[in-house]
Amino acid sequence: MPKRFAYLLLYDLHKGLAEVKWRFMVAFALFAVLFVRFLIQSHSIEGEWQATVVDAFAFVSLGMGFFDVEKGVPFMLDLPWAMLLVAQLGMVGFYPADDFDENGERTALLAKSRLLWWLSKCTWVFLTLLLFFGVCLLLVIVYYLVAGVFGFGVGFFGAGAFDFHAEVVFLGHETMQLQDAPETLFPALAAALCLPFVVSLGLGLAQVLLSFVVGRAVGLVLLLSYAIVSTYFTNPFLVGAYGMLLRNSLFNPDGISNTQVFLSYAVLIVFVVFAGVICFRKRDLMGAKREG
Amino acid sequence: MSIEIVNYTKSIKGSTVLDNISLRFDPGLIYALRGKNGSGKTMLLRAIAGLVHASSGFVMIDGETIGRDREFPRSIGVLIERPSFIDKYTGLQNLKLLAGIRGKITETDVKAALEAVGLDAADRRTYRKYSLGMKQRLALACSIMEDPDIILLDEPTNALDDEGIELARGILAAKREAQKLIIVASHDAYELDGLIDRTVTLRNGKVVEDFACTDCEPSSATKRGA
Repeated sequence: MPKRFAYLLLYDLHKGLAEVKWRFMVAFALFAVLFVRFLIQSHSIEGEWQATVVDAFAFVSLGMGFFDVEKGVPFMLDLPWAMLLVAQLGMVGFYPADDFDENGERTALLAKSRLLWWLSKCTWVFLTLLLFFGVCLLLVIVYYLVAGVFGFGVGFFGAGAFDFHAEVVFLGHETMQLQDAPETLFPALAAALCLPFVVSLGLGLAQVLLSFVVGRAVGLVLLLSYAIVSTYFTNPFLVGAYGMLLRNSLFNPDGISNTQVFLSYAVLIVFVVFAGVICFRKRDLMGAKREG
Repeated sequence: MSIEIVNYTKSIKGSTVLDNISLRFDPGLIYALRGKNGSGKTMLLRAIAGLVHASSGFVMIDGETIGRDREFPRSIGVLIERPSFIDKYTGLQNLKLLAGIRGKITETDVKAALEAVGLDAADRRTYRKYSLGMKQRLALACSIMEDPDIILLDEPTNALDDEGIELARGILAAKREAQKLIIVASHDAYELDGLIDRTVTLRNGKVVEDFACTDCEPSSATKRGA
């Protein structure tokens, strides 16, 4: 069974990555544009600080603060955040349904299991997003290496790792200070590097499931509506905007803690995977065409 | 390995696509499912393969009820509609990738399946550059490469040229000799005349004819070609 799953996943990686190549490139290009925007803005800041890899990732995942009409804080959706989310959902959200229509019957039969088929698709989403974030991270690291400002001094992840600067500057919004202490640095790293991935994974899997249940386009519209509504209202069931760092408790006393984000998304991910198992156990495997 | 379909009914969104079907299929024979588009041929193949769940009734293969005792039949190869392959890979690369899922066969077996349908295993052309006939041959190779006991083919001669049809006939005859159970669905399978052992005709999801082909008359198309 594990071997069969591994080969099914290998098939999905080959076919899936070939099919989403251009969507992957679009999402990566969008990230690159946001990174360039960060560089332009960071260079315009005077002072002794030096931006880091983590700063760049934090900037891309910044999002927007809480909307508070009573305090006169207007609601302004952070478009780069929304665009990057759409790009990522478009990248991972459709291939499983496309493959289901084209090859679901054959691959499920070869694997002899609907369960393996579904779990393979979920794992494909996980690995594709991991690859995406890995490539984005690589871009930023390479830039700082080439620019000669990538430090090897501190070794926060161990010897020879990032030179993390405690002062995280969020340009275009506001400047916030972190305490230069490990108990603050680790959550900051988790928030900047892991949290966007976890949020994308949760919403990406939800998109995959919705594609099967209500269709690709309707699923995307529903999920985006949910994500946008979650930026407007504060509710424990509206976790779509939990990836926005400006709403993180590290930077906002009333914000959401990393623990809360990770727990919420763990619940969402488990729910989606389990719902998919139930859905596929009862589902007829028929492609898009139903002839004969 | 025999198949027994017992009072099988399948409804989709209120529409009955298979209506109380009871049939038996035995190994070493080639069966033809005939009927117009929408008559239920493809759905019956899906039911046998365990791809769809019965509204009532069941499919039993060698004493095991599909969907209850086993999710899918143990040894089955299918060609249902036109499956797609990875565009940028060759035929061999595509089949190797799919064969890896079960891990039952070697690269040599995959190459043999390709050669059997008249495709060159060493062909460097990618699937994108295949003609329709080549794509159909590749799908046929995929369905037989693991040498399954049950072979379900939906319109297998679609897009095949005369040479391809002759190859397909040869493959089916050889599989029958090897005691495989073969079911071919076709709205007009005259290309396989003379090879079919039994014909089942469906209309509106019901079996309207079921007869052995020892007394079969060649179809009008064959007569014209003769």
